Amino acid sequence: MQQYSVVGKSIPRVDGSLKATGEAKFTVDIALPGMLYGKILRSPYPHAKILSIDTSKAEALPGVKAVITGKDTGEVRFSFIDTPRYPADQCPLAIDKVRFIGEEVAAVAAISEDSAQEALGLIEVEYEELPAVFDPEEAMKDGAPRIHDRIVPTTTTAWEDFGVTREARPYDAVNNISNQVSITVGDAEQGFKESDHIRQDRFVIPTTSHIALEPHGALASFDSAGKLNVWLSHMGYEHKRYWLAKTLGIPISKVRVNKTYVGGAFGGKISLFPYEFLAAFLSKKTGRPVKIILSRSEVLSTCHTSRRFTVDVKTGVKRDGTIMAQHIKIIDDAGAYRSSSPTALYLAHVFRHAIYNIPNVRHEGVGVYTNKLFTGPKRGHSLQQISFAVESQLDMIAEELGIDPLELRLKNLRKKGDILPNGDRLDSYGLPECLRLAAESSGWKQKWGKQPNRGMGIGTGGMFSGGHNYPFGSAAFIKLNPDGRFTLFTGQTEFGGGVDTVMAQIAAEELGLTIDDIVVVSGDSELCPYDIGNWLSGGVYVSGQAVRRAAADAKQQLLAYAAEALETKIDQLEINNGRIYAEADPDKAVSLSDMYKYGIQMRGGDPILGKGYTKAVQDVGFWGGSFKGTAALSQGRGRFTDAYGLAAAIAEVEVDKETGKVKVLHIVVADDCGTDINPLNVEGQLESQAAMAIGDVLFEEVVIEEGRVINPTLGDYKIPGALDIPKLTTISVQDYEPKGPFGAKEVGETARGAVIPAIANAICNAIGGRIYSLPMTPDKILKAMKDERG
Amino acid sequence: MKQLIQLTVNGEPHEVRVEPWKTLLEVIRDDIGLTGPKEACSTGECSACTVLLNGKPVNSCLVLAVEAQGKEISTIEGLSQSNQLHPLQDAFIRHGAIQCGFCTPGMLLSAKALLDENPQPTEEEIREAISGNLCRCTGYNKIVEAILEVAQSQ
Amino acid sequence: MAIPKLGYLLKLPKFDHLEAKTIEEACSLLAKYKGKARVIAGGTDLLVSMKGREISPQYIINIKAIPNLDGINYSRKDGLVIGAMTTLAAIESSPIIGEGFPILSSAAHQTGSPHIRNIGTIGGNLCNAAPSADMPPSLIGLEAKAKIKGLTGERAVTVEQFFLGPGVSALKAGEILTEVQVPNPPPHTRGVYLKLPARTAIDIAVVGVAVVVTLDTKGVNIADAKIVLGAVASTPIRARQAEDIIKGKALDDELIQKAAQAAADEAKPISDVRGSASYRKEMVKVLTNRALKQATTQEG
Repeated sequence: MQQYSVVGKSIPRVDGSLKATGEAKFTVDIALPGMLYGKILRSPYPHAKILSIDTSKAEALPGVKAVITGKDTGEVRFSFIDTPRYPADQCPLAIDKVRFIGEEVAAVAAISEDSAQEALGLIEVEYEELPAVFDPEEAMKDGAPRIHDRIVPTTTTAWEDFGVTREARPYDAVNNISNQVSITVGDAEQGFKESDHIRQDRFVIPTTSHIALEPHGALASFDSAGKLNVWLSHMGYEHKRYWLAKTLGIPISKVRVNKTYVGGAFGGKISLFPYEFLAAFLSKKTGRPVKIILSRSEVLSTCHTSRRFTVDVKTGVKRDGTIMAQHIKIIDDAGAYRSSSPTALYLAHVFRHAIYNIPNVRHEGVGVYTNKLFTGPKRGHSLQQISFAVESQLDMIAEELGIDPLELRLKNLRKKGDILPNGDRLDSYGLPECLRLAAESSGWKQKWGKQPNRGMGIGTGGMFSGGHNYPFGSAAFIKLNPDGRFTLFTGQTEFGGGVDTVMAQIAAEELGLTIDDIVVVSGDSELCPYDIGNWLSGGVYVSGQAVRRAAADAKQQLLAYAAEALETKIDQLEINNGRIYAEADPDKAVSLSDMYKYGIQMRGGDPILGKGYTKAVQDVGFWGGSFKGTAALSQGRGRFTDAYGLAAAIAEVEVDKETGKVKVLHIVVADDCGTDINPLNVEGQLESQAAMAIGDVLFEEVVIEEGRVINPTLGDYKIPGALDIPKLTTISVQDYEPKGPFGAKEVGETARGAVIPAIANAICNAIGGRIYSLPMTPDKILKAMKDERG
Repeated sequence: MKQLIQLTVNGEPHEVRVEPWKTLLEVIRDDIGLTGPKEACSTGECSACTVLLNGKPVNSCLVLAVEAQGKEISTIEGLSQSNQLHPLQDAFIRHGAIQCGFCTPGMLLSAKALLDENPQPTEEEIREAISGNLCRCTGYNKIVEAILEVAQSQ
Repeated sequence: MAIPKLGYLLKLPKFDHLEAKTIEEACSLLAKYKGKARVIAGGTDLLVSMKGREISPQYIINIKAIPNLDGINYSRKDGLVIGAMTTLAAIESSPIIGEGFPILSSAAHQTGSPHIRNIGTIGGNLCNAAPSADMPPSLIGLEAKAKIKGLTGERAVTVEQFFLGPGVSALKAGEILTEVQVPNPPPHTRGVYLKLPARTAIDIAVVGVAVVVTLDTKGVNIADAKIVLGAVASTPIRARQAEDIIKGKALDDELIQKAAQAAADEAKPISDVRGSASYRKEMVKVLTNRALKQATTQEG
């Protein structure tokens, strides 16, 4: 492992003191002169026609400055995925009907929250209730209520705007099917024929909420020159800018996303939300800034939650445990709108195809519309759901074959250097080491199967380090200051992952400087160049590379000028600690601030500005009708990512067999994120995901009855607290990724996909029974124990 | 409808005109302008709104502003003095106990109240003291380590 | 909590805030604005219900300025007297209570989070009358009384009689709860409150069981027993049949099992997000069993 000076060090967060003192401003904290408060009126019915809306009484209330409905906003459409094949299906305000309880129907802007709240009560909406359907298998039957009419795109779709030259066509959600996926590798039928042992099981994963502590919210301000300033709680500004520009009909260059700190996101704040559009629309209409902050129960009831999957897994193995074939069928209960279903269904295959070498795969899935709150990405997107299913079944297979579950995993792993069926290369692959170290640390060999009332379980996960999704890459600028320090401009969004710190470390390392020498300007779309954002784990791998290249570019310029100033050949110069000196004679040196002066005085005013850029997936692109290696999501073809993050986890639990209560004793997470740019940061990401997984397995679920979220407060939807977290051991395996900045790749999402099955398997191991759904409540645990005995 | 009330926040007197249905959290943030305490759940479940009332941590989203008169109110803004960080703030930063930062103000005040009353808590007592402060980012263990370090150094 | 009608707002509705300086004033205001007024104690339950629009009282009556409504006092004659406005934190940390009535310290400790305990009061916990409240089972087990003052004078009911239904207490119009009085328990009395939190460590009880047993002078047979169940009926309830099974007898595993089963049979739980009715019944049995064992092995 190479030794670095700044990279690889546990440097405290550069924004740590701002957050510790309360100085750090989040969107909820920003106030502008003349600001109005916006509130949204929402549908009380899961499926209904809107017959009429009377806003006159609301408009007449003193303090109310604007009331809008779908008639004002028009049939502008948006979605997480908007492609020629799957055109966008959502509008910011309902047009002719509502499709889930909580859908946006009208919005108000007023001088106080109290008057906005009062105004909502004065809006009169006449609905005609329609039959609703809540179960996806019911929704797919002939005769089920039809949730979406034919969707006819009225503009180009997003992917056409991005350069894909296929024309959008209307979409008919026949049998309420919103989208499908079908991926084939090898010949599954043949693979099953060659198997000695086959299992088929069904697993059900419910929807959970992200519960980022900062509620969703936006502040928008249109000025009289036609410029839109927004402050958002988000995960990447390019996606937001594109959609705001598109839906509002303004040029993207007139949309500025300002920097705010974001109080957590976990995948729940990526795509455009109606309240963001509405804040901007109301601002345009009133000529004043408009702030809309959602309450917690509003977030839990109306902002997308994680994807609900029913997974049928059929796996065939040889007697010795070699996996021959796997057939996956997924029903994605998408809710009222499609959102990220196409992406999630394909990712459910491709995230994990880096883990096990399964020669024959048939992977199918459908997204289904139902009259419920729609779902979307959450930290790992569909990795958690598929991992729970596949890893649970592997444990069952191991038991039936009499093989140690650890050995079964090790036996089927891929190898470093493997080329995956779609062409992705595993240039780094630390998973075998992850499993071995996790086993060692957890005491697997000594403890598994040997402790009454206790159980141990294993899980693995895999994840992209960025993918070819808009805006497809990142750039960074870095400028030299008169004092020899640098200002770095990166579009990365700081929502807790520590990107401001990590980007500064990368730049500092490249330039031979310390963390204090880099001022980071991030997350401001006016000042910073385009950026892939921080979802699908593109942050460090893609933007970090852009930052490194920008620093390298500046370094080259500095060295070139220093070569002139010192009259020394450029390849005989060293740059370190703010000085450039001749290797042979270190006293023959200039400082970086000297070079600032040199560029301006002697080279025509050149201020030394470094530019760096990179694409998420180098070999992929489309232009003018030709598609070089691009992914065809629904068929699993094309190149997906240039580097896979990988993780293994082992959990140890104790089950109180009388109450069904689970005590998690120990979780070991072993993760391969390539080089740890910041080890403390990496530990933080792994511990975070372990804690989140405890909630996923033991008690988290957004409970919906007849279309109504019945647990929309934090008293009814519980997340782990300090008393619920056991000993957590994190291990960073660091298999150097040659294509990543200083060898780094993904770290924020894989571990959750490994810990969830680890805990689930540990519980089932402790009770000697199998539970096929999450969360594993005490009730389910006691029932599973009885079934086993009876 | 508005009442004139006096609130003492971080040792300083503030006169504000507020309606009786305003919570202490709303008045601190919107009328007095201190945005350290945060609203994350509104129902007293997450404690991101923690302020100290006469030294005791409470959920300010469940305290009526008109009933907070005559009490010493401490927010996160009062923890550091003239940009000098309190040992707890310093420890949080060094231990990686801060990620997104939204729960941090409340977490720090709960920790401070604990150490003021019990300077040498056990790990269990620390977890009990912050049991009402929800954090979705860190998984809590680094927060506990930071508080333990400050406790052991006193 | 029900979803509010107007967009899930979770802001408080408008109200007038009235301050009562004496008990008489509080009672008059309550009587005057009958049906439209609520007393605010700690506010941790009241304000949450108001934010959710379950209730929208026009008048909130603040009684914090009334003297002598909080405080913990003990005398051999009257036993323990806890003012209604005493915070749960004060009860949790009170040496008097810890010494003589440790089951109450334990119950207070298991109620909510430290933040809630710092402003939540015992009076509020009783008057809110949630079936899952943590203080009532122990108080009922200790045969505590609720002292009530109204315009026509003072009266007392047992804490057991104080609960009429979910959210409904025995307070009539114009009455307030002033104190809780806990008589001195007889010698050789031990109490245990076991709470099964629904999901996380800090959570509402899915089942709560308080057991208070008094051994005879020889320390062998059960002279008296109270088994009180929380969160499994529309109010906290005494499991009297279970109590009768063990009274006058020496406890052994078999008897404890029988009593625990009887207690489970007497429970009438509902199913909700926190647990199913069948799970709750089963847990009454498990917790009663454990509580009886713990109560009879505690040091006197």
